[in-house]
Amino acid sequence: MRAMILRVLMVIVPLILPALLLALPQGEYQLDVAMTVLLYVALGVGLNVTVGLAGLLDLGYIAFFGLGAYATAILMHGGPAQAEALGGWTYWMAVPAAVAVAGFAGLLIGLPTLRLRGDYLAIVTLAFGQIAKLTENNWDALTNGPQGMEVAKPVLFGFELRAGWQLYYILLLFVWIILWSVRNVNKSSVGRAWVAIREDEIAAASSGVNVPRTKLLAFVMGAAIAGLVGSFFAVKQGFVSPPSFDFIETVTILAMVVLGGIGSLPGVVLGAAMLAALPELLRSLPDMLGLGGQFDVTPYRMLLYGTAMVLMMAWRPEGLLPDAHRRAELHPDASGEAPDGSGEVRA
Amino acid sequence: MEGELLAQQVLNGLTIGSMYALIALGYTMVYGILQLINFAHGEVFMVGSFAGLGVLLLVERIAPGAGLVPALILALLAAMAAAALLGMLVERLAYRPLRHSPRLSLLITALGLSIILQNLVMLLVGTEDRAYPDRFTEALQEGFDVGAVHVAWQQLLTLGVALAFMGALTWMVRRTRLGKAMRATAEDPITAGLMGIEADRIVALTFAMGSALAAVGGVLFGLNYSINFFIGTQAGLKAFIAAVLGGIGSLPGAVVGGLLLGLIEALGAGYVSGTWKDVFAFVILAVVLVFRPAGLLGRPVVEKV
Amino acid sequence: MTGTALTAAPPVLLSLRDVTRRFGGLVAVDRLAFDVPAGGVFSVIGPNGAGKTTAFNLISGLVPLSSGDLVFKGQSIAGTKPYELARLGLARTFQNIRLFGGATVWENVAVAAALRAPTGFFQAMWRLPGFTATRRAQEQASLAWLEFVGLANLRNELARNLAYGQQRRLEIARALATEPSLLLLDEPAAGMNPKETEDLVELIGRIRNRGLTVLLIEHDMPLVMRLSDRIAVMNFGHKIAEGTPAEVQAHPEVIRAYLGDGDEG
Repeated sequence: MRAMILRVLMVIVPLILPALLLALPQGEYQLDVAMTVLLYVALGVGLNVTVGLAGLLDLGYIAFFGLGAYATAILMHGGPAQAEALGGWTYWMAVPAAVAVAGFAGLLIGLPTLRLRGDYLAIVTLAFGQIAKLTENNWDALTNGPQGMEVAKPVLFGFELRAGWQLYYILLLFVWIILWSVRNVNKSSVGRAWVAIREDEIAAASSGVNVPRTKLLAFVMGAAIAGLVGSFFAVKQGFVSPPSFDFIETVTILAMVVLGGIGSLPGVVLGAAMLAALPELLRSLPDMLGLGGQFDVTPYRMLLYGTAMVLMMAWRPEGLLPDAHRRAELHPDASGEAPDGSGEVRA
Repeated sequence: MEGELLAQQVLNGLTIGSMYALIALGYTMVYGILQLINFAHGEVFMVGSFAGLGVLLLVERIAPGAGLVPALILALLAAMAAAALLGMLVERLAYRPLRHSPRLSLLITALGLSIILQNLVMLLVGTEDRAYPDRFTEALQEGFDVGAVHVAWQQLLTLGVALAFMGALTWMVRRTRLGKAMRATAEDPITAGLMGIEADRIVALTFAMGSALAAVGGVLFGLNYSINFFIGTQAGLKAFIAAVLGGIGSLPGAVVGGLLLGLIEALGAGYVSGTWKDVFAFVILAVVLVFRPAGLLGRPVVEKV
Repeated sequence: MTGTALTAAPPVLLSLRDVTRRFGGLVAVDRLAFDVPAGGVFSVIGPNGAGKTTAFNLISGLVPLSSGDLVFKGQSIAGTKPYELARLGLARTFQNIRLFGGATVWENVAVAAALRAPTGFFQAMWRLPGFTATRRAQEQASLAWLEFVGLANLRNELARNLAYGQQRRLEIARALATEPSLLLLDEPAAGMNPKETEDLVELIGRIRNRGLTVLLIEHDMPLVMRLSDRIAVMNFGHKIAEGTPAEVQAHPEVIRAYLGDGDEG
């Protein structure tokens, strides 16, 4: 029953949302906030594959997002140097390329690192994020450095899609593809192998699970999803520049995943919605209370995320909307129900 | 001219490298005993640096004419004490309750803590760069010339203090009862417990000592460069790379790795490109992880499967 | 079945050739050599600390050899990763049961069953043709093995909610689902009551009847004597005797090892 309601909510509500929001005062702005939330949902689901399903901490996640965005901008416009070999692609051609670039980068980083202890991945990806930022800022010929690059809107059948609601539906389509793909993998034997690795790597390996390869699949899949979302971000903003891909963004997305429930798709949707909408709500809080003016949350935002991470790990590591498998793993003493993640098997 | 540039860069590299080494020791000590990468360690370094600044500013207000050396010693000791307390607090509040949780929970907690520390300091002191009082930094910038190579007092001081603390740590771990207890706990916590060694106490002391060393690095850093709430991330990352380069878990490895990393960075900046200076460290990390994940002086770290 | 005459001997499935493992200064397994013939039950016994579990960890690739060689189905498997060994047909259980406790009973087995009916990543992600077939193959194989060990009715329970004896059987089912030709059982009867032990004897009998070779470490002597076709005895990392149950029981070194050690009743 709960699953049914969730499914309906996830299909119907986002589908009719633009119509509802555009009817409100400041409708375009509301729609933009909704798109931001949706963007974080997509990013959260991607990070959740790496962190939640495979149990690997990826601290360079936002760099893959940046790679997707820059790849899109460069393939569409050829970079500031107008390199002959690059540029001139349509948005729709650039999207799969952006996914491939981000996924390939994930492969290059994961391959040597995933043989080692899990902690190393966290540090190596942190370092990767820093290198990516440095490259974006300094490789002027390709990225135009700190000035950033303009990106045109996508064109469909000769029409330029520039209205908010048009972009919204592109994003929604991407989010659905991502959710469907992740759910499918998670319910397959690949998902079961991820569970096995989280529970006991040695037993998993002895049961024939190729542990490094299975971890790599999760890491690359997470990176590719970030690349896909990045390619949308580039055209939605119409502009890419290094500050959008700061480490702070990785932390933000991680906080969403942790809050909602590591490994849980509905949880991540909830966490992303909560943390992405929260600053907007807090910002307008004084106004709503009739105090006038705006509350600047920026200085406290990171403090809030850090505190949320520490407190959640201490008190409710499975998150607000936990995945049944995760809850079972994290509370070895509670008997609980069987996880329904992979469905029941009838004789 | 060539040789003098080389000598100057070597001196600069050893100076920054000795700071990396001091921080790397904390990573390696904690890792050796808990197999945990203490993400918050870089922030402890940053807090230590600010604690030193606070003490020096206080000295300037209360006793403006105080001698340089006593003031610096006071700042160093206060920063060490503050960092040691902070390190123990972090261990007690965040890591100890999670000792039997999945590693991922520990990593996330560590990351959360470092974000909290960073932003608390930002709210306290603001986002702009701060410098140690001129009286100290200017006096230390002087020095003497060997040919065309300028040797600043602050460089000699940094190297000297860092080496002295590393020597003291080595002596302590090798020769004292506490050091033996630490090594025994790192080797086999259960057996060490049976021998009457309180693992909890040893772990807390390890955090305290590692943090105090990071604070030494922080004060030395403040005497050489301006500081802000963000210095912990970069320094922590570099020091971690130094620890991996030397072989994580190995004390001599951390020192060798720190000095080597400082040298490589300084030479790379001098001869290749200053803009891409930070990339060299990451390239080294990648090369080490692919070809020699145990580091120069460490034991294998490939996951036992 | 004793096969003492060379002409009648079945082919060798696994061969340990001077297998040695040192931990620091300690030699846990010292030039251990024996041949496990295909078919039947081969047991390794010995007092606690004799190096039996280390020998198992060496065979199953969890611990690297210090020296010597391991030959499985005619090829060297020294340095082979555990999941590759599973593919080659070598499966094991653990002395301290290692199940995926937070997963259901059938999921535990399905993880292993995926080895012989693998699902491609893209196949799974986008439900490409063939996905349903592999999924069904995994489910059917898992259920068949659960039925084989008598746990089919508990398939949707969490693994850690099973009784102790059931957990042991589940671990065996998981190992069987990789379709091994050699099954390593590390003290399967440890902690079992007499009824559970009796069921285990019956289960191992049925496993052997399917043509699998079982390599067994066990402390329960009556059980070992009943089940084994051949026994190797270890003490202090060495092999001190090898032969049929009757031969081993009469061997003076074995008697001395057990009586002298006083470890076994």
